[in-house]
Amino acid sequence: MGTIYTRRLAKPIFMVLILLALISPVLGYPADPDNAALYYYQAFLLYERPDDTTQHMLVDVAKAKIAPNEEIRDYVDGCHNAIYYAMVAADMQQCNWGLMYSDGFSALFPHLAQTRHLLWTILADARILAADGAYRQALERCLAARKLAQHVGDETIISFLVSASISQIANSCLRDILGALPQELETLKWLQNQLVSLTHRAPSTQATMEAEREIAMANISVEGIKVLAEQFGPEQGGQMLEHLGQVDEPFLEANRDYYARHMATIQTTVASPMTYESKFRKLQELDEKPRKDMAEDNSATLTAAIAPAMWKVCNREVTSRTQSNATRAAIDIYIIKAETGRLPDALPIGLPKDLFSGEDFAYEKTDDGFVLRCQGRDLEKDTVHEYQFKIAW
Amino acid sequence: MSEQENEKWLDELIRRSIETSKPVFDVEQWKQKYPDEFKTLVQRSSRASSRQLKILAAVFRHPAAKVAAAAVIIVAVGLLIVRPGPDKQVSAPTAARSPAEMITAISLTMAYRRGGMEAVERQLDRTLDRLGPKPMSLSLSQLLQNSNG
Repeated sequence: MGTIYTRRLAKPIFMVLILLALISPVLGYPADPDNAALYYYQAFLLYERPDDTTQHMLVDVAKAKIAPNEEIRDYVDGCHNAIYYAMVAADMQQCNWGLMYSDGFSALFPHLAQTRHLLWTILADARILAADGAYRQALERCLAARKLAQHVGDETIISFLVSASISQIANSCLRDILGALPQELETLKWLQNQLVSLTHRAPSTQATMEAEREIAMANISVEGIKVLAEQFGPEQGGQMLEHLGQVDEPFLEANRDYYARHMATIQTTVASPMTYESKFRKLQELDEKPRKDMAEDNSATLTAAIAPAMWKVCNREVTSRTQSNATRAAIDIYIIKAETGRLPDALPIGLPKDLFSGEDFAYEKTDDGFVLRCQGRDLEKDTVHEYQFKIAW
Repeated sequence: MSEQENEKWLDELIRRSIETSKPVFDVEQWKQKYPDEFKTLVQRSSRASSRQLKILAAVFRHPAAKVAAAAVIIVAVGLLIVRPGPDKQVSAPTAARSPAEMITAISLTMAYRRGGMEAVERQLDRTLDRLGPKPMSLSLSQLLQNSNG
């Protein structure tokens, strides 16, 4: 009996031993992190803080206001480890910054400041690579910046806004590099696929509002008002704190209820299939409501102070997504040019749309490329956005 | 605190919280340009002012309402600070703050309310300026070299 039992076990034990022998080198050291934030944090530690002049130059190069010069080349070269870590991070799915949202209004977002500097460094490197003819690598840097934007995330409105801003800056850089790119069909198709995959996980205002609501709800409290008062400096803040003893729980409860109802209405509006203009007007109207209600309804007071101006936030989202759509639509046009040797006379059907109008972009050929123009007006900026795309071949 | 003292306190607080230089408003020019709006405004003003006084009086008369009034004042002052006119940018009291205090959720949110994304970006950049230098590189071999002398 004992022998049969031993024989039965012998085979699996043997297999396990072989398996262990095979994977032992891998287990010899700890596995690499699967959290992009850990690489970004290391990237933040690995660049040298530039002096003011270099910092300004770095931003100017990243924004193509000036051409890359020796000083910036040296600085960016010295940041190669930071860029390497950022590139590794960009390709990861998961990104958890480890922020303490439970701290509510006092939660710290140290990564946001650092992220902006990392962005300038990555994009300055993209401009340098493009200037040296390494277009594919330059585009990879732009994509890494777009992925960084996604990793910044949409857990709070502020992180969403920073994310949208990074995305727009990265897109502008990408557009410039596309304009200088020689005829490379393979690169264009690769880029097209990369941008499609980015669209699937773009941060959104809808996700943002959920966490924002929870944080605010938990902070409609005496402690929350104290934190709010700190924002107004010692004099005004001090006077607010003097009167804080008069705030009681029924008042706070009524304010929580008002805030919850207000945010639920906003969430429904944002999620609704309204046109851009209708949604914009409705959100503006909702933003005004707590301030109007406050005159006669004390439960509206804290909502008036802390509720986000969602019409602005949503406008930012539409602007950022429309710009991304224009870039994606433009790549299709570049591909047609590469395949046929000429620009199409009209915009092909089925391309990503202008989200201000919900229609296709207006397409116009120019002397050195083409323009994609929105058909709807940006109601916040009171302007019509247009995106110029140059062709180098 | 008497009702009058309360009102004085409120007036003073509001006066100090907003831009004190008064904007120049040419009533005659506006009246000529927008006659219908002027007419409507004149009709409304008498109704509105009596209503506002009624609310204010009610707020300060009721002891229970004082609680809410305090919060209204808190928020009203807050709003006056964070919502400047289109041509005026009220600066945030950030100069004496630590970098950490400049990157809290509420601090960045208020910066956004004050001056949009540009204000948030300025605040983030100011934070970075104060966070101090970072090493250029920190490889394992360098650390080992240093620790081995």
